[in-house]
Amino acid sequence: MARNDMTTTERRGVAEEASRMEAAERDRIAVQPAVDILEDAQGITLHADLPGVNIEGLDVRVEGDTLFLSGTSNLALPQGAQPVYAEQRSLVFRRRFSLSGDLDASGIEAQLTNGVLKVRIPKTPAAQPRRIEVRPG
Amino acid sequence: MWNTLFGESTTLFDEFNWLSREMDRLFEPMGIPALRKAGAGFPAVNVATEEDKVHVLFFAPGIDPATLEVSMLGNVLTVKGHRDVPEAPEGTQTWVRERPSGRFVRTLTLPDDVDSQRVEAQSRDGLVWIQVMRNEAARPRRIQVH
Repeated sequence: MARNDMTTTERRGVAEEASRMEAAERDRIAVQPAVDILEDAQGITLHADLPGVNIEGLDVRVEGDTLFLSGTSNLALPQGAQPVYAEQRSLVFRRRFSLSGDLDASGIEAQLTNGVLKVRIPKTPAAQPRRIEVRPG
Repeated sequence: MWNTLFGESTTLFDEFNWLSREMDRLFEPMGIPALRKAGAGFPAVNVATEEDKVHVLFFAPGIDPATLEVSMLGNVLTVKGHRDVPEAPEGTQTWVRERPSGRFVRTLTLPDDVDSQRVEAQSRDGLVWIQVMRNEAARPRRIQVH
């Protein structure tokens, strides 16, 4: 069998391994973004500071009951620039949150403005307060 | 760039150690304190140098660039501004509050060969990028030996 003659499964295996390594590398260097989380009667609002991240570099996803946020700043300084001082230690942001069962992940909405991500997750109708109308008898 | 750089370090101590070494190497010959911090914190700042300019990056998410005051006096760069994170409305439960808010002033002393007249600032996605040109006269010059 020729060396390059990998089966599709093998090829997929290599690609998966590569993407796993990439993900591991990102995890290693990523920093957690600062967040605010507020809850009101209808749902949860999360704000995250992601300076330098635009839509292309942003990934917001729900897997099971976990919300994953990740963002990469697309900052590109000239090749020859030497870093001499850094308070922001990484330009890769990553954080995850457990969602409680009374949140409706399918109704999630996200918007990114000026480096701040806003995520809104509504509660399931059953978890929202319901106004009961009292009729005069 | 900082990713690869700081990914190498294993502890915070290493990073500061590296940082002070690097700053000594860079700025000591000029006999000036490298960077003077007027209170670390928000917005975070990174500095990179090239032969002909100094790059200063402020990580300022959620700040309207029009409200930022950037000024240079000699080689001292000052950035003033504020970030308003509204109070939680009535009937709202706050679970996490990590994002800084309020007024800030950050002051950095740059290398003494910078030209305070040639400064450019641009802003994108909550990142403010300031480029300060350095004077040619201060660059290393090869002297011919006869």
